[in-house]
Amino acid sequence: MKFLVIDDSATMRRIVVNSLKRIGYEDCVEAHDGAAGLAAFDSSVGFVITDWNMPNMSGLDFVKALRASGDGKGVPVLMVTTRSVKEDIVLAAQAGVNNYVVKPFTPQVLKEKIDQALGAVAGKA
Amino acid sequence: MSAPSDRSGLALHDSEATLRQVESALDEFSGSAGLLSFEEMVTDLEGHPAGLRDLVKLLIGTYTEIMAVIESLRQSRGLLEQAAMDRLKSTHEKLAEVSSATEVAAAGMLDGLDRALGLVDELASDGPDGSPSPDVPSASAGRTETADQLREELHQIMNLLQFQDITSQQLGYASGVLMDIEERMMRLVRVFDLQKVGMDELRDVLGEDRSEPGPRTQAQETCDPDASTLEAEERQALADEVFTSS
Repeated sequence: MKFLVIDDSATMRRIVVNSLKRIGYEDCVEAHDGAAGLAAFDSSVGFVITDWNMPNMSGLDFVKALRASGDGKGVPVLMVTTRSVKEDIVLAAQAGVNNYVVKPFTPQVLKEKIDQALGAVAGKA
Repeated sequence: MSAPSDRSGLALHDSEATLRQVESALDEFSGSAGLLSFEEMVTDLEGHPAGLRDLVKLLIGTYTEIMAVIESLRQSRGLLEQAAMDRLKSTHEKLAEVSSATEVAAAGMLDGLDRALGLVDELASDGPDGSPSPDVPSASAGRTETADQLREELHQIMNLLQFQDITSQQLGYASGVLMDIEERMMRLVRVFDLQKVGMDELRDVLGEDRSEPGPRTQAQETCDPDASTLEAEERQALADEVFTSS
């Protein structure tokens, strides 16, 4: 499965991609903000992992735009962010995020949330 | 060492004490004029040389202006305290957390590297050409296990580097607060001719009605003011609760 990893921090992108490879997902494309993420997204992407706070287009705006597009309506989206205020988490859920990981995370938590998001999307299909 | 916000608070407290002293001295000055009101003083000077009357009027005018400035200073002091103190305090806490997170991550990485070096030593002891040492039974299985442990240690070290993103956001927030306060102070200096601008503009400069900084810069958009390396499990549990119930 192809992952799209969006984060303005190059360090975090490397850590997420490394964690994905460790749990068996080798195919990853990266983007440095929401706008670049939208440009990089196509029907070949099977899972999106996005940060929230980014320049140009935030992760929240990215998810809203993605959900409004044809190909992006059903793709699982995991938000990986430092934002942990309840109102923010609720906003993310309302925007169409399938699961949520608070930084700093462990690879185990990342895997657990990816599996849950994939399971939920498969259940709906 | 006291926190910057404590020192700022003390400075503001001292400024209030200074204002009181100046006000008291001016009150004494007006009182020493023989318990006459200013109007009575001017009336009492009827018949005196015009130059003396003008001088007294000038002094009274100056006194009134100084009192108005003192009142403005007192109001601006209160507004400054309201606008800056809380945010300076949270900024100080963020910077302290950056220092702590850096130390914790560095210690974690050093511990991991120590363990990794021990594992490398174990691997090296198996044989110079990578072949199992004859005096180590089941050396091949042991090497695989050691290599797995080593891989785990190196992955953990990599994960510890998440602190860089989080502390970067904390520093970005702190920088934004300091720049915002600097900007307000500069505007305050420029508009401090209170005879011209009045308190309404002063309130606008000091942001009395705003708990947030002024217009957000791109740097601020990339920063989460609540970013933290602390209590990660509790914060994850809150997210799980929201997503489980939704």
